[in-house]
Amino acid sequence: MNDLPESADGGGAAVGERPLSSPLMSPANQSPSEIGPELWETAEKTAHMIICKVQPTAISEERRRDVIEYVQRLIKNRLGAEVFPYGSVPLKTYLPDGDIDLTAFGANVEDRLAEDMKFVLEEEENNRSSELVIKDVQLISAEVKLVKCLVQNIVVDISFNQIGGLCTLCFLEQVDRLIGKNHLFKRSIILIKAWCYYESRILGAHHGLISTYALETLVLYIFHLFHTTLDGPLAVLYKFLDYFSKFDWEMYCISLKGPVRISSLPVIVAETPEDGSGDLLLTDDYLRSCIEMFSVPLRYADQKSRGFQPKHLNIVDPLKEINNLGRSISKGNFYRIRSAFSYGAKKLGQILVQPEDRITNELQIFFLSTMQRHGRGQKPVVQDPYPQSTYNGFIPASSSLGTESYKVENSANAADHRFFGDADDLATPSIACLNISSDSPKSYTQVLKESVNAIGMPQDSDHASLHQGTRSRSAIPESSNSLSDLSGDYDSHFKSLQYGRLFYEYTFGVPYLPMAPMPPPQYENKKPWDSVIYPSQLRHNGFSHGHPNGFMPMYPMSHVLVPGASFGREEMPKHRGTGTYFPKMNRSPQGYRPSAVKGKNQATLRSPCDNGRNVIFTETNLLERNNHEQSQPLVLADQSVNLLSSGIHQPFSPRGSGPTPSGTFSSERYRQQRSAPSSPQISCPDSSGMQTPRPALSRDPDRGSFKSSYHLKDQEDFPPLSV
Amino acid sequence: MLILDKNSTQTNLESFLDCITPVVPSQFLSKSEMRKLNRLWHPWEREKVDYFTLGDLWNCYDEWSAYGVGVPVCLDDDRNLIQYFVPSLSGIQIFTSNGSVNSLREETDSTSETRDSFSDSFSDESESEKFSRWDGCSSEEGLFEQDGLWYPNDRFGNLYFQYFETSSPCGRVPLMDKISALAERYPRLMSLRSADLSPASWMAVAWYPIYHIPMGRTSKDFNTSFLTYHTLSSSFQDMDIEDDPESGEGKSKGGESISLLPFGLATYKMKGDVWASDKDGRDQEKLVSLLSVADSWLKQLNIQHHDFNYFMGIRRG
Repeated sequence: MNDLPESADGGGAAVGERPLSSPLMSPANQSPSEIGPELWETAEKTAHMIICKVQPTAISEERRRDVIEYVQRLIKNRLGAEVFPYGSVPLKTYLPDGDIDLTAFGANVEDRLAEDMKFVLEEEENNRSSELVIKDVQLISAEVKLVKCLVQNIVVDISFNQIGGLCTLCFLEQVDRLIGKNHLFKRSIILIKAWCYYESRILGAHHGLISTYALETLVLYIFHLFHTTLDGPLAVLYKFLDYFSKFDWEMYCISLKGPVRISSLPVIVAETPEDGSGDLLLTDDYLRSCIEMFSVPLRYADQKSRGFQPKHLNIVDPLKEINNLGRSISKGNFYRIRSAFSYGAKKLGQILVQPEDRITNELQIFFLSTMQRHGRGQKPVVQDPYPQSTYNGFIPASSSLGTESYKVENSANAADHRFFGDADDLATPSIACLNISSDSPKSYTQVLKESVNAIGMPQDSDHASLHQGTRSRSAIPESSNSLSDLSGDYDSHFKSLQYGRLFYEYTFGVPYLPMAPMPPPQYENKKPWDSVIYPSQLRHNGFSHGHPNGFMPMYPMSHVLVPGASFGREEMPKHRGTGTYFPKMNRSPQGYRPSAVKGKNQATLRSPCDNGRNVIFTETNLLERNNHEQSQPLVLADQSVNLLSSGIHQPFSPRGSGPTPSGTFSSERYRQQRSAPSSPQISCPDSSGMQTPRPALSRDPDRGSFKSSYHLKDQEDFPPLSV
Repeated sequence: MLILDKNSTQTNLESFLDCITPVVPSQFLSKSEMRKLNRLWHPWEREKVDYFTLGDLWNCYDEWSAYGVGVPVCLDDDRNLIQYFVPSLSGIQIFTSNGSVNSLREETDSTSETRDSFSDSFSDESESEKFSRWDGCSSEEGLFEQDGLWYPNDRFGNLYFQYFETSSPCGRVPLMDKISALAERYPRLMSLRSADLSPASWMAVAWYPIYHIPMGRTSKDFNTSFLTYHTLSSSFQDMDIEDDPESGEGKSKGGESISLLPFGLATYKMKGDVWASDKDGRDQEKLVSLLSVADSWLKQLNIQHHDFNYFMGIRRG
């Protein structure tokens, strides 16, 4: 292998002689701090410009919001099912070519709902007067049913009862707030997704590649270990490639608790990550509380699960230990992913030792496909149904990256062609460039460098909205190109999640369970929660030069994690009544029959009424539950009810103290639902404080989400592809 | 080879063939080296002979193996997308001059000790692949046991190396990774020059689809896989491809580089007309022609090429 310098880092067989003691197969490259600060500044500026080309914009958000609201209305009116966005769109980390992930909560029988949905969408497809254009409706009858269609030429994937996706959305939104630094987490995700999707083509669970949630978990892992040294998305990408190209995937899996030796599975035994500074971003307590907050109801299948099933690229779901986020990745793709990491790490490493004046050009070449597709002055309006007009509209703005700048001797004519592709979405992708890169890389590179010089860096005004902080939306109309604020609407996400949980519990008779299979002894006192809730504790995870509160003025740190935390411990209602709602349930979950569930649920209907807004989702509840009912997790069904009827959103509403939606369900509504078992009639979790009867998310549906937590039933279930 | 206005008139199939054609940096043989060429393989008097090293050829697949290669595709509704493919080594045979037999021997012997560790590094591969590899890699003995009549040494030369992939597509390593692994034991896989290879030297590359951007169409048309056949020898380099465009056999000169256009082609899961989209039937003709060349080639060498048979729907055993 040593005599094959060119290919040794290809990775395929280069696994022979690594030290078995370390998850990393070779020492890390230069750390970002070893590269000069001026150089990093230049590099990060370029990365910022690239991110600006692909991150959400006012226009792209509006398009997606329109589509989401349309589908929500359609399905609600026709089928009585609630539909929520999850994944990258509400998280605001979607790429211009990304799809929209929706999940529907409807009748118990997913199959029938899926078929009904397909029928409704097809009717709409043939309805010439339909509001939006629907095409290509398909029902994917995999283990997990999926209805796929194009709405306004945007791919829409509708899954069913995917609470996991909503959990993940909330979790990642919170992590982004914890990390701060003007959404460094989300910006890094966008940059890394762009590299994975456009450049290395390793993103997409549908294709046996990395799922978005798995990728996000890998990014989070990098933050977890190296957050003290990471100040820009490019530094994150660099560390990401460097770390994962050297990670010994064949011996270890990735877990936020540290690398886990595969040989120790199914028991998850994490080793101390040796590479980081030792100052981990997420404390055990934080992670545990996230699991409590954002866990997924267990289906019976899960409860009988065989535990974490190792595949080729193994990633432990931070919210669900038995869930292998890398299970979608086939063996062959694993090899290529590893090669892509190595190849990318090598290339980026080479770029970062170049003289400063070449870095911008080289980085744009590193993101060549991204730049070709989206790199022009104007943000492409993706999925525009009328590419020609879009193209014409954008052409005047193209001067910064003129046609001639990409021109290469071999493909002069093609160069003109190419720019159709940049400006519009589905239109001509850069045909010539591929030929160029394969035929005459040198000359092409040369030309690109020149052109890049001509472009220069984006104007400051281009980024204004990003730097204005989190409330920039009001400024949007001034330019069609306005970048969107990356703050997601956590309220809305959480409400969707609560709805999902309630529905799930109602439909399947499986109550919401915290995931930890065996609650650690710490649960028996409140200390862990203290450490999570309070700002001082979070600050301890903070950053050397960050401004933890600066970027989220409306979200004091003390509210970051736990809704309701602003009540303070002292003000926390002593929810002593918890036990009284809970029937004595001594049977094991396995012995639980639906009829029993029903009876139990009905018995608990009182709780929302009795407690109203006094019952909040707090650690108190959970602690009590863990103290008293540890062996009877099913009582948590009632917990969900409490959650939904509570005023939990109020204290941490992004809108401040205004008349915010105060609860997901009114207790009355909830009672009605309970008495009407034909669940399609279940109403949406519109808040009692809202005037409009619209679905909760429509209040601000363009707010983000994030792609997928794929808590699937088994490893055959590949989650919907989201990019 | 690339014609300037080609993109505007190119069909999707031509686009594919263009994009997956490696363009290898080449050098010219010195006069003295030209005199040493095997006359059987280079019967024509030529002013210049340019050649490439196999290592340079594999380098063309370096990025493709990691990232895939993009093929611009034009759909019938005038929408365009880029379909990405990942290459894997499907089959290869390298025949060298007699003169190199001795050094080859030594090389093979010296590397035999490492065979076990090599094998271990692929221990999770299927048994069938292992078997095939050892069958294929154990120099010419294995081959001639099959049929000693096929390869008269003076014409084909000595078989230095052969390999045929038999594992399923989703279990394959990308081409570059495979070559790197093989080259650990057969270092001349990197250093051999095309001018020293017999005209019988060839390889086949299997191209499996990754995905396309933008997505949206989930058409089965995009499940198509391809198998492309390339010569590795300099012998065909002066054959003018324009004289016989349908077969595409041989290499075209590209100044300081050599394009290894596929001389043969097979397809798998070819549905719809994405890859045979032109109205005058040019693509269809080309597909038939390239397939028949591949078939003839394999018959000529008397090779059972696993992927080819699979693509053709021939299931053995």
